[in-house]
Amino acid sequence: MRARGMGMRRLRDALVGAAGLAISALLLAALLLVLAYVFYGAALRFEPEMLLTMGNATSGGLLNAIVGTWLLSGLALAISALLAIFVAIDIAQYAGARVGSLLRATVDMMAAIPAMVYGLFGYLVFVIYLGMGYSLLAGSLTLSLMMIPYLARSTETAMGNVPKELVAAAYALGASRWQVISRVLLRFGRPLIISGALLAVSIGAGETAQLLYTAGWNPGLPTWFTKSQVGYLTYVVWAGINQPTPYPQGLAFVASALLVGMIFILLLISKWLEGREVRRA
Amino acid sequence: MTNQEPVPGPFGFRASPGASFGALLFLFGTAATSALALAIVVPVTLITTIALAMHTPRHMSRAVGASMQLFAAIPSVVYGLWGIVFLEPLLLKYVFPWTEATLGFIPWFRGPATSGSGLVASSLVLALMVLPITSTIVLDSFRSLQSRFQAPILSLGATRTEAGIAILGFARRQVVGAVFLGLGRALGETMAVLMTCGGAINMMPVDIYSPINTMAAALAALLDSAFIDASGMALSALAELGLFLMIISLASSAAGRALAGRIVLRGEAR
Repeated sequence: MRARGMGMRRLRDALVGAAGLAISALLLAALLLVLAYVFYGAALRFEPEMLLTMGNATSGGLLNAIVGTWLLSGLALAISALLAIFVAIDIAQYAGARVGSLLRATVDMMAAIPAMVYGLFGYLVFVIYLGMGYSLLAGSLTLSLMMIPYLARSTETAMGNVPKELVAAAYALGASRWQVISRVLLRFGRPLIISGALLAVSIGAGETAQLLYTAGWNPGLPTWFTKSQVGYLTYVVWAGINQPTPYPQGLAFVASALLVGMIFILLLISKWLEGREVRRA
Repeated sequence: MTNQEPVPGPFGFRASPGASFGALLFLFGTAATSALALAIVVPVTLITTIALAMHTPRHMSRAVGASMQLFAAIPSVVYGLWGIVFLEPLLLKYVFPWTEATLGFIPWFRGPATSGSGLVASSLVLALMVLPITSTIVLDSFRSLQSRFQAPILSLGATRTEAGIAILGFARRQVVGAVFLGLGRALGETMAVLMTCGGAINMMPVDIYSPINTMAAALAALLDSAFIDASGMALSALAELGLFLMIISLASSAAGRALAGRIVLRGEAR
């Protein structure tokens, strides 16, 4: 520590403390402002038919987009859960240390790829090469790519949280490795796995860039998994707010508020499940 | 790009005559927005970490940390919407006239500003989106060292701020890692930037008020029109842009993960 007057150092301490707290408060205020602005704007512009009718992103209602968002993230969850749980099981139970850490690093890095790169990949591979066209399946597959790391991680953590004695006891009773995985690890890890799944859905529901060129847009509901386009809420936000007239802008605000509300609820349930599990363990 | 008959070439098709696929503007935009965002994020993260960990009661700083996680969950388009309807008018009406008047002697600030969108709006929105990530990681690693080092350092006669700086010094690996993870996020961010950057094409920014564009935003904005280039070259150019974008953001995130430990962050990949 440099030799300096105690008064000087106290002053600096007080200044940094005050400035830091002021900046923290400002930051929180700015973020709260984003939320308040979106919800207030949505409340001002809300009309009941926005929730009850289907529409074209800039006119009509949001019903098709709400259903589309749930369809896309739900199907994406189903696809990624299937893959992620197997990957996690493989990392935790079958793979050796080296292969395991390589797999883990690979899965982690999947979360670091920009959304638009996934969007481009999804367009080139699912839409064009595999001939799905703009569709529910192409959109969900593209979304699922980025959900996998979150799910794989939560599944792995969940299985790691199961008491070692329980696993040892199961093996001692003559259970096979698969029986231990399916009846002990996955069963006792279920709440944490579900918490990870909710987190993944909340991420999928808020995505846009992956879907622009894989899901397309549909003023109604999709009729089949492939070749039938599907609408989603984030598209309404993007398309609506760039319109010069008030009604589409209102749609964008209401779609934003719906998204943020849905995502926060999913996130809170996920945190609650996680907290309950951690306390029990 | 014109919709002409494809011209056969040695490797499939040749680009339409006069076609130009330069990416300098997008490289510059990505670098500039990310750099400016980080220039805001890094000092703010450090000072708020010291203030929250050393000068604030624990339950209060916990609450701030928890709300940060909620803010990291807000979709990118919602930040974009806020940027368009709130931030851009604010910049154009109040901030830019002031910068023109006070900093106008520097050519980049002279103006006149005609729109709120551009480098400043994009960087501010990016900073707001990256801050929850960096401050969560830095605060967490600070906390993990705090119990061990705080009392000894304070007992040497250090003030709380000095102790905070010393502990941050011990956590510098994680701090640098958090910045790289934040950078990875900023480089790849698409929608919020697309909505606030002004969507420049074929024009380098001349001052801070000019529209700009980034790699990710350009991919989203130009893919639509690339489909009508019959030679397929526009699509190839964008695919290469995507490849490069993926490599740099993966590299940044890999560096961050190597330094800060194994982290899968919510929203990192947007």
